[in-house]
Amino acid sequence: MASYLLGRLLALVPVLFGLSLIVFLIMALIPGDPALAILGAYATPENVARINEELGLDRSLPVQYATWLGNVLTGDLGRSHSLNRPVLDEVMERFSATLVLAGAALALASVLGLLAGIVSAVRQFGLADKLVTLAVLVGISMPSFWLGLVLILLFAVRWRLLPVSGMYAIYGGGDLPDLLLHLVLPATTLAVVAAGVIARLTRSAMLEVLRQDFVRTARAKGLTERRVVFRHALKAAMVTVIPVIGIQAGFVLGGAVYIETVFQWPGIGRMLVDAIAKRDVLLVQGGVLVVAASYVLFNLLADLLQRLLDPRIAP
Amino acid sequence: MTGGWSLLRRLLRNRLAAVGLVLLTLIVLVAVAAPLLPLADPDATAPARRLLPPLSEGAWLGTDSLGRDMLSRLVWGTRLSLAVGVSASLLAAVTGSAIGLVAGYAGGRTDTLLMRGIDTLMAFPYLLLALAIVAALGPGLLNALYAVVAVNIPFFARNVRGAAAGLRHREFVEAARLSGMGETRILLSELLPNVMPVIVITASTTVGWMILETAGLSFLGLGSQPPQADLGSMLGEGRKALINAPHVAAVPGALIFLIVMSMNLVGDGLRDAIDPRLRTGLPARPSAATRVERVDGAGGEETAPGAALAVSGLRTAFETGEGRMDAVKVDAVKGVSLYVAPGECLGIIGESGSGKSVTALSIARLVASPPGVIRGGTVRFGGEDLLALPPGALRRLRGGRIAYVFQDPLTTLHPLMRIGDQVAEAIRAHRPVSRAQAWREAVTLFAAVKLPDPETIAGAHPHEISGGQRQRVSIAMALANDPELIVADEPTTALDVTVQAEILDLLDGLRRSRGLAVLFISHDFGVIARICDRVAVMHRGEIVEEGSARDLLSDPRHEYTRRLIAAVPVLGRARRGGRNAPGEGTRTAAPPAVEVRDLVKSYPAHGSLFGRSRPAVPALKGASLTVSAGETLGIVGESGSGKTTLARCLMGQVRPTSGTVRLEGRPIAELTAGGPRALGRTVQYVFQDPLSSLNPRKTIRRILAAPLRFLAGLEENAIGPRLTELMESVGLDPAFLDRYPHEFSGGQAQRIAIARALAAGARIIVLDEPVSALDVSVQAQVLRLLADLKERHGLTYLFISHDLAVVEAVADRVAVMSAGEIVEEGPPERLFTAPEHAYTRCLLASVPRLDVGNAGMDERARC
Repeated sequence: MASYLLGRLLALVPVLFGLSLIVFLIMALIPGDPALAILGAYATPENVARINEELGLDRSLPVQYATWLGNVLTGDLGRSHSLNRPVLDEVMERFSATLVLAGAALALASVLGLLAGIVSAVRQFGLADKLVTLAVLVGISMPSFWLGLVLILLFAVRWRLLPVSGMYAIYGGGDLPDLLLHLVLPATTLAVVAAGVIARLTRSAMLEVLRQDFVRTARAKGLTERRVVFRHALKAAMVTVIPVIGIQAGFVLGGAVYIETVFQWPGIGRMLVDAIAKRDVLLVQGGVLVVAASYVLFNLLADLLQRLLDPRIAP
Repeated sequence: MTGGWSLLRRLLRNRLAAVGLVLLTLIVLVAVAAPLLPLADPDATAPARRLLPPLSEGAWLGTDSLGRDMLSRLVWGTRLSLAVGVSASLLAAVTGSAIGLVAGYAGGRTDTLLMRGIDTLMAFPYLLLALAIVAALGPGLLNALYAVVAVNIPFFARNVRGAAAGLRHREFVEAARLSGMGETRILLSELLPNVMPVIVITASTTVGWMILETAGLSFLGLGSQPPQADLGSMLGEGRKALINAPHVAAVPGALIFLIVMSMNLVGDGLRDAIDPRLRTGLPARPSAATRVERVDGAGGEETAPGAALAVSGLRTAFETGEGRMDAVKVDAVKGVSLYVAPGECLGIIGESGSGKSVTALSIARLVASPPGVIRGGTVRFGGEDLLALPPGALRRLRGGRIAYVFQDPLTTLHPLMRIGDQVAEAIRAHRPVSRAQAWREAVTLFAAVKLPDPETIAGAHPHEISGGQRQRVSIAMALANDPELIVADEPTTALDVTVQAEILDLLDGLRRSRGLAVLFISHDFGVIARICDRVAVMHRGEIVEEGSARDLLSDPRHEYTRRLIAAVPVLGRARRGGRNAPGEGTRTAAPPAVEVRDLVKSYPAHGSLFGRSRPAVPALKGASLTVSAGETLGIVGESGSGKTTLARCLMGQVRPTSGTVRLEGRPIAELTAGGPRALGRTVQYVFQDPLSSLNPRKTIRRILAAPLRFLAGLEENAIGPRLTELMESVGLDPAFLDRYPHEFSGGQAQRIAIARALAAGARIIVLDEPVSALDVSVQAQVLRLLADLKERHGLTYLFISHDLAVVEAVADRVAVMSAGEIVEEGPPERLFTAPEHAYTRCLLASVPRLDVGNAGMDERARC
């Protein structure tokens, strides 16, 4: 296991390298002059040249990349010109808010999705199955940014049950119950699509597994149906479901961009949208890099979990 | 195209998909017709008429914050959203599929490089990459489209690559290459049609997302820019007036939802219609026990008093057709009666589709249901009718007093559970013992079935032990609760012949020492003869003959049994006199057809930087052989002996590590250097599974025309008559030329594969287990055809098989392979009567014979 882990970590190196290259290239190829964007009205030729030198933009691309990568590796993501603070500080602060939201949403989606999928498979063609199938269809077709608006309108504006937006109340908030209260609507909205996908996949994986030979063997052994379904079938089905949860983590992280905008959640998604509008290149670069890198690590976790479950996966 | 219509029909039969299709068609029609509809100018502002509610005068859906007509904006916005979504889908499909197709087909370094790039794209959370791209290109609808295309390319690339890589090594692709087709042609005519369903399915699942994502980007203000508005940017604008005029946001959002949902409905329906295996609704999951719907009421009296098991008038059917309403019940078992006395072994023999396995599974109601249903008869066991038993009682019986051993031990054991746990679980299902105690009993059972090192085996997972060991585990599991009856359904069919002999010995010994009754299902007369006291022969769901094993085999009464037994290749029977010996004269004059010298093939050591690296496994360790023109060389060996690797070296598909191969005097390197055609004109290959060697999406005409066109170099007008000739020469009606492979039986399909090999005009044909997938009666016909063709065309055969009797019947000379070496070689007359090598002796002793009863075991004791 230790050697497997080490091997997997080493295999991450080229992925992370490729990731950094893509992020760098996208930003380097931005049409227009970043110096002009930064200086605005103060863009005299001397100032532009000075900024270009300061940012290293007068050097060749490979040199720029090497310098940038060296800085990234030492934790220096540069300084945001729109916020006038180190990119890393801003990104970390915003990313932790996103992690709270996305983590809650993913947990919610996994629990709901798995339960609904199992019930649906076990009661195939029954009422529960039909309801789940309908809910899944609605869930995966739902534009989450619209669902968020509808939920705000109903729960926050009309019935005044939950806060409209933000992460904490402005006056007297800041404790855990306050956070949870603020989390309910955005996390639910964000979880809807992922829950639908997980439920649908769990259902089909269970139905597939239930037709396999080893399930017949389990029945031939005289096991109870409950044990056949929950121990034999579910265990085998999880092998297909876990990677999908890993993939859904990516969709949830991405989808957080909408939800943070709709609910004014101070997360990294909103930061990115703002940074794009202000053409704050370094902030976008840093934000994308951190989120993508942590997503890669999360997928590694999903792989490890799957390997623990499935001994057939060779090191 | 008829395929398109039948697809549409299947799609419409699915009610939800039909609803989705109607809805989608309606939306698309309105969007397309937008310029023709009497709509207000979508961009005309009217500050006096801001935020009118729906159903206002002159504005059905009200107006937005600039007083623009919502209905008109909605129609034009839908038009824009659909156009962007569909173009994105097309662009992503074409680019991604092309990448996937090339990567999957080329394999190797190209594959690694392309897929690493795709993996890196996938390493970004979905929307984040789109954001980064829009950030780089700047906000705008076209840029949003590029971003959405870029993030969706990986889905197509990965899915298509997976499908293409799976097809790359499929036999029909190799067969196409041997037919002289070039790489591009293979890519477009063999691979693309077969991955098309994957592309369509991926497109239908992603088009909804793409519309959602472009709308999302517009919602964030990064997509369409004012005054141009798609549904997403309308929603984004509406959000600003959310509290005062919710309709401005609600209506475009609802429309996005409707579009995406109808697309998902159609997509799901399409997926079900294209690939029935992925159906979301059917097939139903099998219930815990086969449904019993006896038309003739609960069964009558005890038919065989004193029997351990007595089945009478058993009828088991399968429901086919969609839904319960128009279900057609097809009887697989039509009134079978049989009994097994305590301590007795009854064999049921029959060809595929005879109903023997269904009979065996019906006893403990293990036939998958749906579609299975037991329609009549009784199964009496210990005085009770099992078909009337309540679920709890049936469950206690299963694995308790009646135990099963199934065919393929790899698929019948749970892949993720330790073996010891699986057996312990069987014990604890029936007896209240502790976990530790059950584990100890499991280990004892493993010792009883003679597994080496039972403790270690108990802790292993099924994939870590060999096939024979797995079957011993299955037997141990069956013995866990001291059953009275074991039902063994083809328990040795998936095993090599020497392992089969060991398992049969084990089962027979256990039966005798424990007084077990055994119901033994097999298609192999030799196996039945070795282990059973009595035999029942099944044909088309009925028992046609039954009797003691000795009598039935030596003196079959029923016409079908007689035919079946006559068709079985038996060692020793084929030693006929008139074998056309290879011409002595030609051997010296012409070079040998095949000459293999010191062939070595070793696969490189496999292992990661830190993982335990496995040593290089040599598949061939210096094999040499010569085949004269017009001769048939039989090569026998068990799995892993290297016989298939040898065959692949002859076809240029595997490059040997060292050693030489010469075909008709020319080194193979010279033949392969000139592209696939020179080789294909010299040597052809017939694969084991005829159906997988024929492209399912091509007609027989197109399959057979390829070698005629590319290898035989025939003019277009000469191809037609030659096709007719070919079909006739393999005994098929030329009228079948325009059918597809799935419309043929296994034997017919193998005839087509043989015709393809003949078409090239090559005189050397490698036959790799050509009859192993066929039933015995069909086997005999195909062997006769092969002998016939050889005589007529002066062919040279390399006949590879695990079945000694088949090889003896066809070969002029036999080579025995074991562990990558040819251990013995000689004419069958000598090799099969006076084997010199110990392995050959062991192999021969392991072959179940028709006439020996249990005598084989004593011989086996020596090997």
